[in-house]
Amino acid sequence: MSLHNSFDTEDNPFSNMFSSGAVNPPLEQLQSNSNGNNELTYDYGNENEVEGHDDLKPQSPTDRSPSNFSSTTSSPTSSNINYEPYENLSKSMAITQPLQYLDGEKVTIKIVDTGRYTDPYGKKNAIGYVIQYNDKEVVRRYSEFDNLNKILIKLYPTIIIPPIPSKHSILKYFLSPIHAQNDPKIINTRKRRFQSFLNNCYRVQEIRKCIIFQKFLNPEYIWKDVLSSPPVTILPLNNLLAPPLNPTKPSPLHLLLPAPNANTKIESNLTIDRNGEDSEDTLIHKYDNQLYQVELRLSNYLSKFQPMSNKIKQNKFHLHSLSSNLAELGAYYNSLSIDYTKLKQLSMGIERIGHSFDVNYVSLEILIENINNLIEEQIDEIIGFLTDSKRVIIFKNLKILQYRIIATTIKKRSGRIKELRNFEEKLHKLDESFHESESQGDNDANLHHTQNRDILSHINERQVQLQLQKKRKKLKRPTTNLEPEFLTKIERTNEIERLTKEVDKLNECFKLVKKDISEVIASTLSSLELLDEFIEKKLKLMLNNLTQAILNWITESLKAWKEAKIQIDKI
Amino acid sequence: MAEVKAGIIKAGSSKEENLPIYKLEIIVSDPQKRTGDQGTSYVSYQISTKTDNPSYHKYNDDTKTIIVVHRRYSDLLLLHDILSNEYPTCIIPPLPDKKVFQYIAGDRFSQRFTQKRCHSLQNFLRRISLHPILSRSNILEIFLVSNEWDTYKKSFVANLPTNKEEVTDAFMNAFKAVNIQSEEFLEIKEKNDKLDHTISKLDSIYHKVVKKHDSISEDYAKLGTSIQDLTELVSGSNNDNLSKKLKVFNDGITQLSYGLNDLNKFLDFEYLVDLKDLEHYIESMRQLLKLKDQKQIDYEELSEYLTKSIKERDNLIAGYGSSNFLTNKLEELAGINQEAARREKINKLEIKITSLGTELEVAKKVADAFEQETLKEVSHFDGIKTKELKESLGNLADEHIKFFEKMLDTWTEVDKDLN
Repeated sequence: MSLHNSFDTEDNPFSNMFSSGAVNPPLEQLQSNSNGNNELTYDYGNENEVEGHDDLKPQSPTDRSPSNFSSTTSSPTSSNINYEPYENLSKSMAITQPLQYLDGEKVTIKIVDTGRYTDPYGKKNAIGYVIQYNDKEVVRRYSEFDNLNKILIKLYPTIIIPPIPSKHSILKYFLSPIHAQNDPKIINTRKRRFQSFLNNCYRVQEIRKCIIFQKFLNPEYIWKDVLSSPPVTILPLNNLLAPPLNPTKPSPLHLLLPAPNANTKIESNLTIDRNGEDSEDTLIHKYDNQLYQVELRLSNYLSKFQPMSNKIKQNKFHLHSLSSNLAELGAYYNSLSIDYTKLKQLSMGIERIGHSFDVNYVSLEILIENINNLIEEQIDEIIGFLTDSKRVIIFKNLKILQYRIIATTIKKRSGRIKELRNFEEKLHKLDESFHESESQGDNDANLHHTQNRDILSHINERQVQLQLQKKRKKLKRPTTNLEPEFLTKIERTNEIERLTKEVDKLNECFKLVKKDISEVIASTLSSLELLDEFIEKKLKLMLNNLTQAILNWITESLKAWKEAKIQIDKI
Repeated sequence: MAEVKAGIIKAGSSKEENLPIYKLEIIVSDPQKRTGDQGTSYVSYQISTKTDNPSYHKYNDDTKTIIVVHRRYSDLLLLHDILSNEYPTCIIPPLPDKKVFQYIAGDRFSQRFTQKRCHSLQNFLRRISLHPILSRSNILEIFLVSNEWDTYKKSFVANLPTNKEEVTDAFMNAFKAVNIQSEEFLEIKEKNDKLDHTISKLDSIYHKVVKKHDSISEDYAKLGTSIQDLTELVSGSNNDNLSKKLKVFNDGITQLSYGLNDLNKFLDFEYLVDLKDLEHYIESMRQLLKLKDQKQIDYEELSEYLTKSIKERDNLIAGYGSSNFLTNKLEELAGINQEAARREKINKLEIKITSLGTELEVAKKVADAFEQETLKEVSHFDGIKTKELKESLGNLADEHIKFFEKMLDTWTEVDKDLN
């Protein structure tokens, strides 16, 4: 059953809302909302007064703050640390190579340390991440980052929220429940990713100004208290029924809007053609192409990045096993060189070969580390962004759907009113012509006749009603769906009156939704475009960084082999 | 038997010092599939020889001419057999396995197989050319120079003795150990075992490395197509700059994939073959040591027998009967004249002892000579091995330098284009 049909039945929210004051969302999934709505008193006067969204223009790209790469004291793999005989190798150089930031800006928010941390209530032991911002330090833990992320998603349905690293896999907990939480590799990854998350948030004007985000960075606030106070506590259950750009601002009229979901469909033949006047075409189509382009591109990005991420992971695995083989080779050549201590030159030559393999191994390990930090994590982050962009697009589409539902309903209602009025007019004309023909006859009889006719018509009315009721029973349709000739005069006038009121309210909703839509589309578009731009910049940065990492690897290895060759030539 | 032994002693000792030293460089290349007379296919290798030995240049005037012949695997196998027959005290470099499996699988004309075998044959001939005795052999010259090798071949095959006897002999002695092993040989053996162990370890790791390189190179090929897709996607937008950058980067990745492939080809076709050949060479050396031990065992057994006989004779002379009181009693009962029998026995033993004495002397000479020869061989082996190690390690370093230099060029270019 299409939504439109359901909308035209008796339990249609727009037919009922003025008589009962309750809103029954057309879809059962949202029943939970209706209870809350019952308690609200409606004041429809100020529904247009939505403020505070003047800064909707797409933000300038210079606004973004750089994402972090190497500023963390990322530890090289443990094997590197133990690798003392080759201290002269500039491995530290390779890892802390000055890598480019986005737009060359400095990192605004830093995560300077990690460690065990007990929350102010002294209960839980977890890993805390020390955030440094504006010379202040605040400790937050994973679950708090997770909270912030979820709240921001609720708070900004039209803005793509930067992703946070995923939770520990259950498998890991299963394998080693004690160590999973303390795995330094994961902690380091999270440290980098959280820093990136905070700076990515900071980059977005809306989030930067958001009070919750600011409280998150402020050590004076205990996060639990932030969670148990507004605006977190008054977040709407369904963002479609709240002002899209400021969902915590009370707006009762929003509660009257229909709440479609992903399964909701509108009958395609019921498109609106009101001669361009107020038509959605002008409103939505203005952005249609732009939106379509950027949405298509982002979804293409997602479909390309996901397999690429897998390939890189696989490659990393292969490189890892290669590097361990290289380490073995180094060891065996070294032992071979010891076997030949009598032949000094040969022994030294073999030793250099072993050394070359050792260098190969260390520089490859560094390359792997770099691939992990500079590419894999970045791609994961981009995938996170792209996945969240889907949420924003879906919200926007639902909002458009909402708009269409209202427009369609208005059209239907107006049509019905027109139908009823036309019928009434026809009857009236018929009546008049009947009158005229009579009045042309006897004037005296006329008065008498009129009285008679009134009585007659009254009796007729009764009879008609009975007849109608019989007929209606055969049709088995609700009154609102009946052709006007099946209705009595009173019913008709009642319905016209009711529908006119409803259309008035609907028009108010329509105005509200129209405003919403333009806000949502503009905000969504700017957010999507910002992401598009961000991805391109990230890609460029990744290419540059990876090229640098590869060059480092090549240079180190080449140097070692050249030295080995010189020694071998001496044999 | 004695004649052969004398021959060995002669072959080994004298004629080396006075002979001039010639350069001899042999290159095996260009494996080609050919069809023989009976319509069967085989692989022919081009063997080019560069030498300043005048006897090689009978058919041409210029000693700088490179002599080129074509030989097949079975020809080299024959050369190997003839050499090992002619020079039993030398370590004849081993040939690559016959690889029966490849014959069955029909894989023996694949590039991988022929290239590897080609490199292995090259190692074989280079080892011979570096060996002071083997490099002077007539058969080698005929093999490297003659156009009528095929006619020679038939006569050689006919004359080649079968050496089954020695095999059983060696087998019988396989579980006997030498009583007194000189420290020198103990050390040689130990060194050999150690080297063998390390080389076989390296061999197995390189196999893994080759596999890893393969999968990494494959990864990059796949990644290349991914980036290609991305490039197309990006070029759809109005950002030509980024798509250009992606393209540049992708070219770098592709080059990396190719470079790894090339490096891998070297490792697989050449370096791994070098290692395998070295393992085989060590095994040949081990065989020689075993042969030497056997000569020594011969001598030791002989001398043991001699001392036994002498002891018996002495006992008889001293009048304590042979060994057994019971046999003496029995002989007494049988009415044998004990005194006469004793004399006869002593006489027999005397004859035995003198003949044993001379034989022992010969055996001692053979064993000592063999030992000397073996020591010489070991030093030849060490020399050849060192040269070989130097060359193969040099190649290894060169190939790595080549790979990294190429990558450095490629990626410096990429870096330049990106900025």
